[in-house]
Amino acid sequence: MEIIVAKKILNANDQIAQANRARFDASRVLAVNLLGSPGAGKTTLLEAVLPGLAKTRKIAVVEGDLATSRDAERIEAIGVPSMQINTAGGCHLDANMVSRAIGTFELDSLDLVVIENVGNLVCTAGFDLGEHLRVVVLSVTEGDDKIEKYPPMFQKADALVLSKMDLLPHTNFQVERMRENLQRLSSQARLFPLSVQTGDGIDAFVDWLESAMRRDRRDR
Amino acid sequence: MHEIALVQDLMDTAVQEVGRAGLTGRIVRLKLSVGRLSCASSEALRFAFDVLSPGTCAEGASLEIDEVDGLCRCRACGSTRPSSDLLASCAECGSPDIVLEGGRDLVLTSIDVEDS
Ligand SMILES: Nc1nc2c(ncn2[C@@H]2O[C@H](COP(=O)(O)OP(=O)(O)O)[C@@H](O)[C@H]2O)c(=O)[nH]1
Ligand SMILES: [Mg+2]
Ligand SMILES: [Zn+2]
Repeated sequence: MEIIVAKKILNANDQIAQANRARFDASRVLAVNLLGSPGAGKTTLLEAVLPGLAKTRKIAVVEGDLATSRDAERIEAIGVPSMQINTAGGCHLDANMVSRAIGTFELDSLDLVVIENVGNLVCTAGFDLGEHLRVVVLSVTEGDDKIEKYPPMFQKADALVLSKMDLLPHTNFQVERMRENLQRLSSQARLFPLSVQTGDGIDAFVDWLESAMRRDRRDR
Repeated sequence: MHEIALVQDLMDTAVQEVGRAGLTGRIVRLKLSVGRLSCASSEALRFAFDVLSPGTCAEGASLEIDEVDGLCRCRACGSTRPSSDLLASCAECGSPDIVLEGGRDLVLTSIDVEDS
């Protein structure tokens, strides 16, 4: 006997993601999903921008990795509370993991929650965590063909941080080629070329985050 | 390899639906529609199913996977066609201003249950 069902798989994830988003909204917290390859510079970017933001904003970080609490320790070291999730081999964070992690935070007292996802340009794109904004970090040492090779990751990004710009002269990365591909995706992503080494471009990214937080407060 | 998590969810959903239909027999076939933009690979789904199904009521069931495209809509000329190429230009007028809708879901479409 055949049963016709038409049931979406991962619906459970989407439902929990919606619930996470509702919790963030109720507490007026801006939630950011930070994505990119391992070594793209996600944690380093947080180390560079969070101390300044933390002067006026209350921030917490969720760190996703297969193993170790190294990144959470790096974030704690700059005085920002953080919570490590070990996925034990899992290639992405899902909404349920994030739900448990934010349960340990006093959400009402926070302005910004950053969720650093597992380093991965494929699987992480398919899981809504309940974030408001997706920020993808791509380093110039990874090559300018990554948008063509992993389009879903870049299409849904709200911001694309082009990291390690200080290394650009040592690579064959063509920023123009990457920019064209981003346009071909009809992506809405704002582009932020920057270097944590020299500090160039950091301010523009911080301003963007600040204005997103202000917008977030007005909307709710 | 998040296909393991997907197949786990697939099997949980299937068992739930069989129970809801008031049936008790073994599952002999599952039909799955996989969007080509879903970031899931059919091959990895089959492998995960082979690993996870033994010992469950879906043991030995066949997994039929139908890969589906999204719909590419041109914002310049309005034409539409099935596609999964996020970087394509319009096949009609050549405009790069396209939007791709759908093709991102994994849907359990049908379950065959052995008559008991
Ligand atoms: N030269 C240079 N190296 C960087 C920059 N940002 C990060 N890195 C280095 O890239 C490596 C990986 O950074 P990390 O933040 O741990 O990457 P994650 O895996 O994305 O969190 C580290 O050795 C960083 O020091 C940058 O702007 N310039
Ligand atoms: Mg990191
Ligand atoms: Zn057209």
